[in-house]
Amino acid sequence: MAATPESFIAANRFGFGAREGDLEHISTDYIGWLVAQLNPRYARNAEMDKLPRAQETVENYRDLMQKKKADKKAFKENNDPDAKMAAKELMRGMRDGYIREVAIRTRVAALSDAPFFERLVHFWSNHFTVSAIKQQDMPLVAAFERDAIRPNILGSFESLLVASTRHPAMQIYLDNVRSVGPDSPGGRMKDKGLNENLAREIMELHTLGVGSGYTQADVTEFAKMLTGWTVDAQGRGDGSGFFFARMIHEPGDKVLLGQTYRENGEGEVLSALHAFATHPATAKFIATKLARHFVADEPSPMVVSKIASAFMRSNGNLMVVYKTILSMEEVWLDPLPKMKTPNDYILSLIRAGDVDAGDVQLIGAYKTLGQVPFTAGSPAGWSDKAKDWIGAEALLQRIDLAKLIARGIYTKTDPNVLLAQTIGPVASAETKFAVAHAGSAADALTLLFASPEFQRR
Amino acid sequence: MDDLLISRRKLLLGAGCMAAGTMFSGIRVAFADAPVEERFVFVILRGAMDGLNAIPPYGDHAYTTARNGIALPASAFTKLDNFFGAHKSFANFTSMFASGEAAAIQAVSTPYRERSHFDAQNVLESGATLPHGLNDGWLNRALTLYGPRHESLGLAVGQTIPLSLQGATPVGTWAPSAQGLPDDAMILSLERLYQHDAMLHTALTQAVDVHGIADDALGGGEMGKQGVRKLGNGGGLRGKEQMQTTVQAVGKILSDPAGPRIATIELGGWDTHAQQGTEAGVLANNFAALDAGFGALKESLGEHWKKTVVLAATEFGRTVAQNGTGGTDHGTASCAFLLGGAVNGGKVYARWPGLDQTQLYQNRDLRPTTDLRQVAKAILTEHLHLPGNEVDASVFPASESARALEGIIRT
Repeated sequence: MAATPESFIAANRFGFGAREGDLEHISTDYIGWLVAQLNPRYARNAEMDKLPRAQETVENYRDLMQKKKADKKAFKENNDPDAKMAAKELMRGMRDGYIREVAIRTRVAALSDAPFFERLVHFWSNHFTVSAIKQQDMPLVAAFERDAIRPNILGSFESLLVASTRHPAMQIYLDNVRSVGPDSPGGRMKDKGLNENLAREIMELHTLGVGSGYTQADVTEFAKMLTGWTVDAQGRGDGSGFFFARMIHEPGDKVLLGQTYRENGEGEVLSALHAFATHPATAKFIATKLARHFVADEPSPMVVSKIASAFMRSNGNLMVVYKTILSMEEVWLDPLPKMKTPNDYILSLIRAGDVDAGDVQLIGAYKTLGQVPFTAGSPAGWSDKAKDWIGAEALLQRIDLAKLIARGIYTKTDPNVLLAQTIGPVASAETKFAVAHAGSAADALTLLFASPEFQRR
Repeated sequence: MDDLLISRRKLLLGAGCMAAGTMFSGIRVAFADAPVEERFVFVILRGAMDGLNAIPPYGDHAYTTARNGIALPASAFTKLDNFFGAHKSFANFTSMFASGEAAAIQAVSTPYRERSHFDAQNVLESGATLPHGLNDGWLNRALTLYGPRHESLGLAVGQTIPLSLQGATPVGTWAPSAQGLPDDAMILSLERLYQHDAMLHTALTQAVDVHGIADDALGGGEMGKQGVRKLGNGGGLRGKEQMQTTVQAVGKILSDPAGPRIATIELGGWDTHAQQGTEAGVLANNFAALDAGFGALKESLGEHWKKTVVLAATEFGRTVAQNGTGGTDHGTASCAFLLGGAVNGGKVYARWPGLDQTQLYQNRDLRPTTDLRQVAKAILTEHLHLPGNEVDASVFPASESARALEGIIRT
């Protein structure tokens, strides 16, 4: 049976593009193919299981920093050049570990039999952004995606939100580890105080959305509730890397969004997160982001409101939300409304070209296209709009990468066959003609990879 | 065909025209055709810069106490006048201030009064009074006032176009990169592939256009290949070296008679929630990066510097007091920098609101007394010669309360 446009949409808008045979396999039961991927077994992965979990990472990092400090001191005091080298070596080790993580993430996504699951992982990982731009977070960002995101994307939004907020990577990224209740025993002793960064971004970027009616006072009160939520650097907690430090928790009742919360230590934040997770503003905010990710850069209010009401009706049951998106007619009308982000363009190339890219080369491609995993420039994460990704310079970088991949595979690949296998159902006459009449197989593949149908979804 | 045509840019532009009518943007205009000779560079400081330690109001009796522990000591700034100073990291700015080519605006902000980075940057760049009030950028709407043109007057430095330059009028983007354009045959094939895809077609056309200018201006592009590796999306340039090398190239591109006149540069890393430091530290380093950019722009623009205005501004300021962690949280007013031979410099423009607790905005932030649109309007009308009524009508709609700030441009 000939591949359908819907199979192209399923493989691209909800995946990372088609491999050989994918489109025929998906065929007419495209929704069934996607729903089957919403299975918790995809949360685990043999290669990832071998990587350190958050608690271990936190302790490794602590040891690393202590060793670095000792080495630096040794260098200063004894002018011991070996100590200086050792400190440098440690930092290099941290960077190497991070690059290894990026390579594994890339392989897992590109080779996955459940690309929709992986897309959801990437979506939520970006929604709850942590970034290695903050160096202390570098050893933790990938662990965040593995521990907080992967196991929680098929449950309730609230569990996902709690897991994200508790994770050491988030605590460090948005400075909550440094926030101290001014009237807590710890705060009075050391004359320390609040840092409202995490409180504000949870309300603005993770749940309610800006302009939903909360005030500066709400941000400050929520920041007080969050005091004491910190990283378990001493191994005192439950092994998750999270620790509640009562000594620095701001005492007293707090008033948030007009509601009084009795003093309740660690539990205050859980109550607040529950209130946020079930708030209509959150439903609308999450619905808008999902619609922008999977339907169109500027989704229609109708689409957003259908997703938002599924979110509200189901108390944030994410399975229900995903199935609602897949069932909407609007999703399946236009095959090419969105542009692939650099991350997804690279994964599409790897998938289509069956490329075995080495670690360093991968990081290089992410870098030239401007989207190295886990390095978003701000807590708002990467943009989901084409206009933020497609400029003259960005396009040139894509064409260069297309050429590089094409040159690596042209001896073993028939461009016309690959066209049919990847963009066949939606390929324009111009693209088919250009690929069929290019001067060389390498040029033909470059044109295929640079074509609008391959870059769009 | 090759021997008929001198440069690849001309080849491509010419061939494009032959093949597809007006597909490519046509042969570049001659020098005399440019609608404006003046240059304008908008430096977007993303992340909310702490203006109180950039241009410290050391003469305010409350400065040291209000900034409990993060106020600059006398050793950390140079006095600009008997009230304001400049952080020591601003060596180039301070020397240009002394020679009348640089000024600062204190207690300035956009009309936005909340504390979200992303909404605030949206207002800073769209020129609307509220977040998401307009879908395009104020600089693009200003370019539109020059009428439809063949060449790009606007240039975004980076891989993509920031909101301030997004809109109906096509603008170029340029970033230093190791590779130049694909070969000519490939460009022509791609041009046909993109004929029904407006977004990709525009990007390709602009790439051919801007790369031609950049290659000419930079002598084959060698300069553009150095230094900068990652000009990523989100946050802009980072650090001194990246700023300096990139900006040097930008100055050269802006010096091309047929090149762009208006450019945006983005510099990130200002969101100093923790341990921002005073004399030294992360904030001081970022000041030094910005200052290196100022120096590099002046140097690379050469004789065009006298016809140039540079405006560096941020989305909002930071709290007056330090937070619990040696940093500052999101605030309201900050400062902005004006540089260039066309600036009426040597002055800090400010209606100073004061730093006593009762004078602060919502008891925590520097109160805004100047609207950033007043500064932008003065630049657009007095420096770039755009008609005031049209600037009011289309560039900054609903800005009656923000009249062009007088005296900041040399006339």
